Amino acid sequence: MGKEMERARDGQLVQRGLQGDRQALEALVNHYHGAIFKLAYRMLGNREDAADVTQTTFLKAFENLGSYNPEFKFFSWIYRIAINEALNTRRRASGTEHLDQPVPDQRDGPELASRHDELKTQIQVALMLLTDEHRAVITLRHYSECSYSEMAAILKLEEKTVRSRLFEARRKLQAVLQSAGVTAS
Amino acid sequence: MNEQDSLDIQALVDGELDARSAERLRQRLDSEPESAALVRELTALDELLASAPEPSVPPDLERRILQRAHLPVDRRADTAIISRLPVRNRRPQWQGFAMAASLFVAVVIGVGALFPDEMNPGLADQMTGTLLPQAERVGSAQLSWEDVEANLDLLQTDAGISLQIRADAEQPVLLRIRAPGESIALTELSVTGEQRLVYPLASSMEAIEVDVVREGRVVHSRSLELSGD
Repeated sequence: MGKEMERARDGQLVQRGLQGDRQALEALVNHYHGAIFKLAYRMLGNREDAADVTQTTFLKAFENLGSYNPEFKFFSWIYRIAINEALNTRRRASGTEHLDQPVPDQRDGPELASRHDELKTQIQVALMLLTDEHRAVITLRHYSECSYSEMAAILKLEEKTVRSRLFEARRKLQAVLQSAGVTAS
Repeated sequence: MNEQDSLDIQALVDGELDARSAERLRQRLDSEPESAALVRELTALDELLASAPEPSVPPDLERRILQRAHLPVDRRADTAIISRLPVRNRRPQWQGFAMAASLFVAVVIGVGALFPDEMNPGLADQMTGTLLPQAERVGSAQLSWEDVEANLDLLQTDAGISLQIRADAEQPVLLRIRAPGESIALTELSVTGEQRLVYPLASSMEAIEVDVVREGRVVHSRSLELSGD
């Protein structure tokens, strides 16, 4: 489904949700809970916290559904809520944060699975060494596949600020990964 | 290379330049090794980040969200999947149930009178207070809400698949059967004490919703997916 069709679908679901149609709200959960969880995980590096943030994000979204402006994309709106929730969680847990140990995935065979797990951890560790602002733009661009304009809408920044922040973030991430000897091969 | 050049190259790698600007910039790369090197660096970083496996989503996360989001209003729909596999494939899964139910009496209350046009004529004739010959239960789910208990069964007969609802409630309640997303009911069953209803399902029907209506308000819903697998 194209982004415009998604936008139209989401707009209809929100309208139905506002009229008390719980199936519409369930459809929004179904469409977005995975993406929100992955976004939160990249921001936090911890599955349990990411799951909590995902739940809180939908609760807040539904509580404030009346304030959603249908001229904007629903996913931009809910992604913004998710990022703010993730940052709040980071602030509350400041000093006590911990990264998950990778869950072994043997689908590609033990050796490749081990390499994948290692790479996943190294990248997540590198992400966590960035500032929240830099991690947010990297996550939105590389893992949520947002365009510059979508990132600007989610982060409430000017597009030119997104471009320069993304460039800085990539430079820093590249430096961290290189210092750790992380390569794709 | 100044900052603006770097941002333009980044936009090129990200596919954010219009076609004309992208082409113009690509032509410059041949004569600007520093710019070409930046393209390679950004592309390599993109590939590196993409090569890491995505975190798996907890399988029960959606259910947890729905529970938290809907419990305050006590109207959360839950979902069960009832398979309508051929009877012979279902039999092993029903050993815990009374297999004698393969031939049973289906007492139909009000369905034929209320919705004569929606009934399969052949089955409707068989149903009203009579036996459903060779009917066999091929799927089942339960609905429980406060004092309302209902068993939802799929019945296989030669005439097709029917939904049987056997309900019991201490206080009057209405069970409304409808297609998902539709507000108009296919049929309804008023329940005080024990009641039973059999409703023939169209072969194309993939799911139904059962609403529990009390004092004119939907207080609970149950979604039944009719799996063909």
